[in-house]
Amino acid sequence: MGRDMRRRRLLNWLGGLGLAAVLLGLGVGGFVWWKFFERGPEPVWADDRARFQHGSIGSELLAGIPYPIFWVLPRVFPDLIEKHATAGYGPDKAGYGGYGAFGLAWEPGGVLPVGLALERRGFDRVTMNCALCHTTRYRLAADETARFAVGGPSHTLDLQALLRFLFEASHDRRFTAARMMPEIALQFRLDWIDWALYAAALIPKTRTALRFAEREMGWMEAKPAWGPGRDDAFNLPKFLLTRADWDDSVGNTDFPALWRLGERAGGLFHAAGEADSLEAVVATSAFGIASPPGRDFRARNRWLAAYTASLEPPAFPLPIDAALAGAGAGLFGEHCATCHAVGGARTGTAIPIDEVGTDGERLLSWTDHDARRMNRITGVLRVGAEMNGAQGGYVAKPLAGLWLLGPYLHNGSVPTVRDLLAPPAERSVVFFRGHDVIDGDDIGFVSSGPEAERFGFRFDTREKGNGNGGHTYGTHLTEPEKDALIAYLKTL
Amino acid sequence: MSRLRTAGRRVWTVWSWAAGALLLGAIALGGLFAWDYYGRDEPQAFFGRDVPDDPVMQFKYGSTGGDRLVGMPVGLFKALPLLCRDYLPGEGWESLGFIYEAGMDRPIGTSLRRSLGFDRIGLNCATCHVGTWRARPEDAPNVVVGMPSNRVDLGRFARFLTQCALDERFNPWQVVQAAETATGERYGLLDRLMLQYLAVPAMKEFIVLARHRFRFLDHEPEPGPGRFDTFGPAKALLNWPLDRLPPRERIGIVDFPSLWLQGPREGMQLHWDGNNISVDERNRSAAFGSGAVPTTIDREAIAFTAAWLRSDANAPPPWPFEIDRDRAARGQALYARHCAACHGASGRDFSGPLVGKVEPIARIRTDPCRLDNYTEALSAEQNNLYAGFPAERFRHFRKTDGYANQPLDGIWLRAPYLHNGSVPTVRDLLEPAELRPAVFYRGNDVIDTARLGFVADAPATDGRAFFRFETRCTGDAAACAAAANPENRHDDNVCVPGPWAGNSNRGHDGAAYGTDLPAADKDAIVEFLKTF
Repeated sequence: MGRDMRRRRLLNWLGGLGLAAVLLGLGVGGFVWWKFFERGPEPVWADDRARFQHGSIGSELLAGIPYPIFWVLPRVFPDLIEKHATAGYGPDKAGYGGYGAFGLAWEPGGVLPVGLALERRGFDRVTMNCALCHTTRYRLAADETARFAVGGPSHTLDLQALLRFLFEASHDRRFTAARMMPEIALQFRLDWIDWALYAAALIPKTRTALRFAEREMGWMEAKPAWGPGRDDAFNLPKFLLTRADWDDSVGNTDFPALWRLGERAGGLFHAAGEADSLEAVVATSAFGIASPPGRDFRARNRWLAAYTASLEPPAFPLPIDAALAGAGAGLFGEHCATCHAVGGARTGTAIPIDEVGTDGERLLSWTDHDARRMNRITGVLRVGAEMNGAQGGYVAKPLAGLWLLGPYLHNGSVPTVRDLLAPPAERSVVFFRGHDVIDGDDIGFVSSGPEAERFGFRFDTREKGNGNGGHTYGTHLTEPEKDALIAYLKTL
Repeated sequence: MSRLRTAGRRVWTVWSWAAGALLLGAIALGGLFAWDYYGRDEPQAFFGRDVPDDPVMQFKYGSTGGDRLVGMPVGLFKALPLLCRDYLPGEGWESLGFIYEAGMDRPIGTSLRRSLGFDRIGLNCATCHVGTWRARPEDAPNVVVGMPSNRVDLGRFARFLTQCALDERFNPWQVVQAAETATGERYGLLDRLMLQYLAVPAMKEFIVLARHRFRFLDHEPEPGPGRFDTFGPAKALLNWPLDRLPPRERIGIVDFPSLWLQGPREGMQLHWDGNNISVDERNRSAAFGSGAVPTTIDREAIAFTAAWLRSDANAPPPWPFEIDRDRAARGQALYARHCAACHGASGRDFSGPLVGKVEPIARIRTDPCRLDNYTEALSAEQNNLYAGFPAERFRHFRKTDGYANQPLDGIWLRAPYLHNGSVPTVRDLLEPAELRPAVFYRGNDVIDTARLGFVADAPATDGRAFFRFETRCTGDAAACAAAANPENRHDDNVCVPGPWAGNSNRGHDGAAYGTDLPAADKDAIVEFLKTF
């Protein structure tokens, strides 16, 4: 006996140990899968609009914030909401009302503001989608309730203020389980496992993730404010994805509309022509906001491209003088159609910066070198789309839904169409963005006067990247001609 | 030697095993006891398996579940009026308008629940929705369930709790002594320690928080009996920076509404400004006021009460005095012509093209403050007050642009009138705004049979003092001139702040509202409304 017995015993013992380890591993793995990864039920959408507004782009694992934590932040940090939602605005800008204070489009009865998705991966997670920056909140008069235009630019959304709020909260002493859990417990029923998970893992993890994101976004603090309705469109992927060294370029760009994008097939996309096709725009934009490439990615992007290809802007809601608009149509054909009519000779091309003369900063923020680095990453990850460097000028686009696209030019530096038809020297030097009442006469949003000053964000065209020069087309027209042209532009 | 030592060790071992087992047993037993004693969660219920269903008792004394969050131990509840007698206008909770009935040792509108080892008292729907009336001052009051409370003064109640809990007397020893005096009990060691060192500090902590969150009361005129700010508490729950709200949004005091006949009201625009069309959401939103948040609300109890509120049994009592039939018949025709479209055909027939619909502020022109108090931003956030319970999430809150037309069932018990309770009687409401009383007294429950409402011109009766309600500045001219907005005008239908804001008795006047009818016609309409 002796050695054989001992060896067999040892083997048995090791085998038992191994089996226990495997079982334990399976148990732990199953628990982790259940609590952190298991998918919730497939959402059912009432219609395409609902899917666009609240459908997830699949970024739960990379960028999802646990819903109870997201939900409770405004209740725990009302002072920080107020601080960031009002910084740079007039005295009457609301610094309360939860996330709505940052200008998100929150439809009556909506679970979350438009542009936020709620999906379960182990636990409910909130993520952003395209609609966050592409839903216009507007009103015809100050005393009416808000209307919403799907796919329009979110000119009231102050994304930077929202980020700053989240970042500052992550450094606050109140961002702890001790302060947040009781508040969560008023509205969410958590069993002891979830309670422990939130207290010991999810709250600290979210705090850490926000601090990480803050370090990643540190470059934005050295640049002029985005303000409502804008972000630094290509510095975001440049610094975050291609890991380029931080530089002093300013690429602040107005959120564009996603209307009738099908009309633009064959032309360039993005303000400076960084993409050649709608599919490329969708793929890189989705990838840019943490949508992970894969089978779902491609299917979802196909749907998004198809949806935005034929998405219609709302019609101008006020009466239009038909005779005047008729006269304006002729003027449009004469002065604008080459670049802005669908099928115009230069529509969809980049008009060289020397010719258009608008602010050139944006072109410096994304070079061929940056595009190559980006394409290397997207190639490895099979995003399935290539990008261009800035094309040396700004893309002339068709003007679908122009009346909701204010402020105008790629950097949102000119408040109304009437202002844009004035020589640059006569355009507003300072105006107020983000007030959601439309200016039905000059087209755009009410951006000057006491009301705009009370509620709006003070926008200074003298800041870097905010220049309002150039695009002098039509500035020589007479006032009656401008009236006629504007009347026509309302019909687009 | 060594054998002896071994034996000794053996004895020790036995003893230590035995002691260990005993200790473990004691801990287990103690744990079981604690689990049972402190984990027990039992409301006093008036429905269910063990007791016969009594919806009226359940409404008056049942729990909404809010007492799990904000209920205070019975001892404390009874101790406070003794301990802080000087902060009360009179003796006991009655002096704040709470109603006691024979056979119950706590007032109507309070619930009782065994929870966390205490018998805890909380508020419920009946606090604000049970009222009283009497024919003569010397009569005993008649209690009416579902009637808007005309006597309870919640503003003063909140102030009293704050003053008392933050008073030096509110310390563990004096509170327990007062509790023992009030209840006539002697607390055991454990109960006494729990009360002293758990309940007293917890309540103080809670009051500090509540005082901060309820600071909206400091921005508003004194509500007085029968009124409170409805949506201020919602903003407080959301922890809005209340002192930064625009001045026009800060005043939201309204009269308590009646709760009769909720079934026929389904689908109408509910709340004074008609901001919700779901009776269920309205119920649960109101239940927040009792502390019934999604994780504490007693769903069975709320459903039981809601079903009763919807039933035909929940109807106002008929007018108990004589009615001049001829005059009422004449009033019926006038009512049909001038009032029925908005207020329904009768006290039970709520049909009418505009019943339950919002009348734009530009037309109704009543005090706009409550309308401005409810905002689009609040509606969006409110829809998320049941965020953790997707099936129960609110979906129907909307910002409106006026006040909702209501059915007039039991109108004789719903005085003073208009959403802010600014007009004492129906007969006054039929006068043009400038002829309505600028000052009157609230809280008297003696019926004014001629003018339809409560007697409102007496500052006090039989030792009961009433609340002086001012619709605008009525003091000396110099003081008025110094005050903000002394005439309490809101010309553009926008709330203008000031010490009387929200109390204006304007609006609901002009030809469309019958205020220019001959006096005899107005009297006839009043007579007909007595049948409602």
